[in-house]
This record gives sequence, C-alpha cells and structure tokens, in this order.
Amino acid sequence: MKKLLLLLSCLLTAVLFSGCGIQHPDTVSYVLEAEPSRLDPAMTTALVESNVELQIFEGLTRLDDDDVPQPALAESWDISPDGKTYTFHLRPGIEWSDGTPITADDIEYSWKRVVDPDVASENAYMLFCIDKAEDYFNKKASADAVGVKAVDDRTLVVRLKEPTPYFLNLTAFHCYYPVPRKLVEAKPDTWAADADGMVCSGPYKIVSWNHSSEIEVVKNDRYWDAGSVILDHLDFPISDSQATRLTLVESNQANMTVEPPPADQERLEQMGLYKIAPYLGAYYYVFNVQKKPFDDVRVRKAFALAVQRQGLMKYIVRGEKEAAYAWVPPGLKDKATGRDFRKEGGNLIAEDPAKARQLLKEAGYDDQHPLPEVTLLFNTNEMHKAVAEALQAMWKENLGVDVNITNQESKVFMATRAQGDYQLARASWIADYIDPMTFLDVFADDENDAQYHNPAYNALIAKAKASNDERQRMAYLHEAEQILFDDCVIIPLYYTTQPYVAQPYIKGYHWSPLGLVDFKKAYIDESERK
Amino acid sequence: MYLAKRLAGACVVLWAIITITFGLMHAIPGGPFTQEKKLPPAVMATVEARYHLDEPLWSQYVDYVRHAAVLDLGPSYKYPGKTVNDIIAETFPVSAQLGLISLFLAIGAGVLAGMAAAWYKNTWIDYTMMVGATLGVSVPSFILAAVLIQLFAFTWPILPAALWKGPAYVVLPALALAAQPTAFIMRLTRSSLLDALGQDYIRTARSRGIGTRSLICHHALRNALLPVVSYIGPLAAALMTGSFIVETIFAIPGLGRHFVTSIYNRDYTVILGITIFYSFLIMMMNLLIDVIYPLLDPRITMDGKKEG
Repeated sequence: MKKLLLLLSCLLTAVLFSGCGIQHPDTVSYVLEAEPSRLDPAMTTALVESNVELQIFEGLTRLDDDDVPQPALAESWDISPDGKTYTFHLRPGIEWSDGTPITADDIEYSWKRVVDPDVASENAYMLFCIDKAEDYFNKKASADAVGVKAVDDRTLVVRLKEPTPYFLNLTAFHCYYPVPRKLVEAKPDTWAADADGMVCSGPYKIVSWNHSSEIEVVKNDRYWDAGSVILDHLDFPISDSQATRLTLVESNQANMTVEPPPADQERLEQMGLYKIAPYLGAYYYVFNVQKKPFDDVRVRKAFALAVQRQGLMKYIVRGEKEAAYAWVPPGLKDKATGRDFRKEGGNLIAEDPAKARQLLKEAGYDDQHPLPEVTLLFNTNEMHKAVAEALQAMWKENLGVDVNITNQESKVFMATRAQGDYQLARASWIADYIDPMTFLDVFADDENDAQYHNPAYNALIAKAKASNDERQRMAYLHEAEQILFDDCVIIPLYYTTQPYVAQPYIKGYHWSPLGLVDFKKAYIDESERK
Repeated sequence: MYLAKRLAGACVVLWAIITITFGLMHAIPGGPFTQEKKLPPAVMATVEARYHLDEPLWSQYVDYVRHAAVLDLGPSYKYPGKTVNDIIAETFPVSAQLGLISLFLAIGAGVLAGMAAAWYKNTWIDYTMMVGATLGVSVPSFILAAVLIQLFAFTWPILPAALWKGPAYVVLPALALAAQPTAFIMRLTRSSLLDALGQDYIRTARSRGIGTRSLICHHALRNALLPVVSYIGPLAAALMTGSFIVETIFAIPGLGRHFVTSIYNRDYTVILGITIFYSFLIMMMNLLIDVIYPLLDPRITMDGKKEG
C-alpha cells in the first residue's frame, strides 16, 4: 500500500511538471474563437483561420488602414483599358520564411490550385472572375486555359472574364495568397496542419501550434517590409467559449479577443475594454417567395412594414448595431460619387403598420379569411430567439396575425433553409470583399435561399458585372437594390458591427470591415501599461 | 479462454455501436460542408465527391467498417490535415492526464472521507461530511468551475483561469472534475462500510476483542470497497476521455470537447472514431475491474459465479 502511494505521488509530480509554458511580457495575445481547421489559405473558409493567415501570409496586395489595397508582394501593376487584363510586377527579392524566393510561378500555381477540381477548395468560386477558371473547375477546360500566367519570375499576367473593378481587393483575400509550391506538392493535405516545417510569407511566421490550445507566431525577418513590424511575438490562445475568452483577457492571461458575451457589455464599457469595429454584414429575415402566403408580394410587404426596429436595437440586439432599412450596409463607397453607397441609395423600406394592415386586406386576408399558418424558422440561439419573439409580438400587434416560431440546430436549419423548405427564416450575410456586389449578387444566384428568380434583377447584376464604367455600374447596382425591395424579398433588421475586447495599451492593429484584424503594425504602448 | 470470450464479445458490441452511430448521424440533416454561406452547387458537388460523400450510404458504411477493422479511423472533415487517429493521439493524453489526477483525488478523498463518516457515525463530523457530499453531488461542474475561477483567478489571483501550459493550470479543472465523483465515492464508502460493519463476521471479530480501527481497516474495508471498485471502472473511462464542460470552460485541448463539437460540425469520421474509442475504453475498464474483483474477494471468480 505504501509503495503504491509512493508510486502514485511520483506519477502525479511527473504529470504536473511536464510541459511548462513560457510567457513573453512583450507579447500581444489575441484569443481565437476556435481551433483553425488548418492554415492553408486556399482551403479554409472561416474567419478564425483567415485571421491567422493574414499575419503569416501575404497577397499581391494588402489592405491599408483605410481598407484600400496597397502594393504588397506586387510592387506595381498595369491594368488594360478594357479592365480585363492585369499585369503584376512582383517586388524584387521577396522570399518565403525558409529563404527560397517567391516567384510569379508560385502565384500561378497557387491560384490554379484553388480552382483545381481535384483539390476541391470551397473557395473556388472566389476566383471564378478569372478567365476560364470556372470552366477548369467544372472540368470543361484545362489548367493551361486558365487566365493566369507567369511570364517570368517577377511578372504575372491575369486575364479576367469580366472587368472586375474590385479585383485588387480580391488579391488581398486569403485564397489569393501564394502557397509554397514544393511543400504543398510534397504534403498536399498536411503542409499547413502543424507548425513543423510550415513556410510563411507574411509579417510573422509560425513557430508553434499546440492544437486547440495555442498558436505562437514571431516576427518574420525575411518579410519584405520587416522594418515596419514592431512586435517580436504574437500569441493566439484558443477558446471556443465566449465567457472563457473574456476571463482570459480580464485575468491578464491575454489582452484581446473578439465578441464578448452581450451581458457583459456595460461592465466592460465602464472598464474601458469594450470596443466596436465596423463589420460589413447584415442580419435579416428572408421570405421564401414561392411558398404560400409569401408568394404574394402584398403579404411580404405587410410583414415587412409591420416591423419596428428601434426598440429591437435598444433592448435586444445591442452591441451598437445600426437598424437596417435596406440591404447593402453602410461603409461601402459608391465609386461614382465617392459618397457612401448606402447614403446614396437611402432607405428602401419604411415602418408603417397602418399601410401593412391595408396591404394584408388587399391581399384578401381579414377576420373572415385568416392568413394560413405562418412559421418563422431560426437556428437555436438565445439572441435569435429574442429577436424572433419580438417580431412575433409586432406582427400580432400590428397585423393581428399569429406567427409560429420554430428553432432548429444550426446545421439542420441551414440544410432546411437551403432546400427552401420554409416560409420565413433568419439569415445573415457577411461581405467577402469590399464592394456592394458582394451583397447584391446573392439574390441573382440560381439557388438563393429566397427562391427568388427575377430576370430583370439578374440582368442588372449581369450588366453591372460586365461594366467597366463605375458610374454605370453603380447605377445598375442601385437599381437592382430598388427591385429587391419592390419585390420585398427580405426584411433587413440591422447591420452588424464587430464588438471586441482589447486592453488599451495594445495599439497599431487594424480591424477591417471584413472581420479581420491585421497585427502587422501592432505594438504595446508601455506608457499606458500599469 | 475467459479473456478471449470477452474480447470477441467486445468486437461484436463495437460493430453494433458503429452501425447504430453511423445510421443515427447520417439521419441528422446537414453535412460537414453545410454552412451559413451556401456553397455554389458545382463547388459543393466537387467538394463532396472528393470526400466520397456522394457515394451511396451503404458503400460509405462498408468502406468505413473495412478501414476501422484495421484501426484506420479515417481523415477528419473539419480538420482535413488530421486523421481521427491523430486527433485521438493528440487530445487523449491531455484528457487522460487531467482525468487520472481527478480520479486519484476522488478515490483518495472519497474513501478517506467515507471512512471518517462511518467511523464517526451520527456525530457532527458525519453530518458535515454528508452535507458536503450532497452539495458535491448536486452542484454541477460548471457552477463549481465558475466559483473556483472567481476565487482563485480574481479574488486571490494565484492560479491561471484557463489554458493548459503547465502544473498550475491543472489545479482548478482537476478540482472541478473531481468534486462530483469524490462526493459519490464518499457516500458509497460510508454506506457500504456501515453495511459491512453490521455483518456477522465483524461481530465475531469484535467479540474477539479487535478494536474499531483495525476492524474498519483490516476487516470491513476490503468488503466495503467492492461497490466502489465497480463504480471506478466506468468512472475512469469517463474521466479519462474528458468532460466537454470542464474542457470548454478551462480551454483545455482534450478529447472531451470533440464528443460534442464533432456532432455540431457533422464531422462524421470523428463522431464515429471517438464513439468507438470511448466504447472500447469502457469495455476495457470493465474487463479490468472484473479481473481485479477476484483479488479483492476470493468468493468471486472471473466467470462471475459466486462460490459458496
């Protein structure tokens, strides 16, 4: 018995003292909201991955603090007058973190890899603006036909299907980052699944990755702009619990994280930790325009006009979100006038309960002819539920109709909505790139959730895509958005923001409206630190 | 012979578990690539084809069982750079470490406290311990975890609130995890000890003038621990595979969270793989207990027959 106890205590000591952590005092530590599935920029789709990828990789362009694409791996480019051919000139002397040069050939290889049908990247459609890329993905053209060609080590020529005025924005997007060809060919699935042997091109390089626990990156001395990088260390502890992430920051084990629990907002504001970044996204309800009773535009409008947003924002949604009266969120430039696209377009939907009741009557529904059963579908979540209940009450009060609300587990919900097996459902959309098109082409898609197929709308989107004239393009887009509301396909509720928590001494980072934090120029202001 | 029989039985059970789990998980709508932003149909089709998700279910099933038979649990859909074997190999040691520490804590503290309660039966010591045990059994681990974090990471900031980087990081999660089994083992020990103390052989021993201390430690305890030992088997398997709640609250990179997240993610191979692994572990622990049993009580043989 004594021997056993001795053995046990030895074991315990051994277990306890295995693997001690090292803390760097000059480290910025940002708690990630999940374990990245891997760090292959061509393959990953979630923000948690692209956020780390942004620190360790670089595209031909990189967004600056005003979210304008600036030369990065490319030092300059020429655009043909028809807007369809881009010639990129790579910066001389750019290298991977292992010292091998980054060439135009790497970029050609990397882009073709994203649309390679055998690689099957979920990001493939982001490159379909490149000539023949979609055909290659659908096995209707060869890789050689794809419109991207390395002319020499430092020159890359890209042929686009249609003039895509936001193309330089796309080249800053993660699936356009070059990947190290030799490494990827040697280990196609696993090259970016561990820190060991991984090669980087960005301001930082990865040194350790303790899965589901922490990723550690350090300054990459071979980065072309290493002179602008101040931090030596950057840590990404990982926790998928909102409460734990906040606890880590409050107990000084970390100093930044995203999306604190809404209930803590006031307390964090008082402590000066609560911050809000702009975020291009919308939270809305979508009608299935082919399901009764919402196949009648008057019923859709009645439901939309009966919604009142101010109380909803103040008491339920919070997080300083802005009530939405149209589809495209503020923060996108109308390139024709230089003003904000949203300001230019104005509000496209009103709040008018009286008119809502009248429309419902016109559609033939009243006390004698009650509306058929209507069900609102959302995915299980406290906030979604609170919003749904608030709207249910508004429709009861303003229209006198009883709406059922039903929740489903996330993936069940997404599958149901994608199959069009619903009447009215919750939805949200986050911008892929900084242009109104990323919102407006959603409803031109053959298989959009609303089951909405309006040839006039689709024609406008197609014309906008084919246009190289910003004035005309913006006019088409405004017109398309107006049609979307004439047809009342959605009930926009609010535009998203990105609440986050950061110690005030962390400075120099930039939060882009695509949900990414760039730590390239981040630093710790010692004078503000206690 | 006995072992061979048990192992063959285990294989049949595992096969049944695979089949039922496979059926259930494919019955839930949504797949690994369903997401808020719907993929264009052509992209979805290509991606599914790459992972053979477009093949008929029976062929996916046969394929899976064939690989599982040689312990190849397949690649994860959510973490494509990793196989399920990799994931278990990375996360199980973490959960097992934490689980074993909690297990020893629970057994040590539980048995000692149970003995003390039986010894001082119906005194204030007994009552205090029983109140503690009732609290321990009824307070859920996430409440206890929150209280521990508040106390030891904020009120007296002596321990880290979360993460997994060294010895100090083990203390709070181990306590949170051990509380419930400690309380349970304590109640079990107390009641079966009291039960044993009422038996004839104890009375005989007592009549021969043996003191209470020796009675409990040498005569009664051995019998009284049998129910505790049979509880420890499944408990060990449960603790070693980790707790979703404790691992989530303390951001511990263990296996426990995969039991829940793999289902959210529809990560089919991970769901199956860890279900198999957990079932296997439970069966092995039970087998181990059955082997240990006869050592504690010679009246019990390995075949489970109790001899007169």
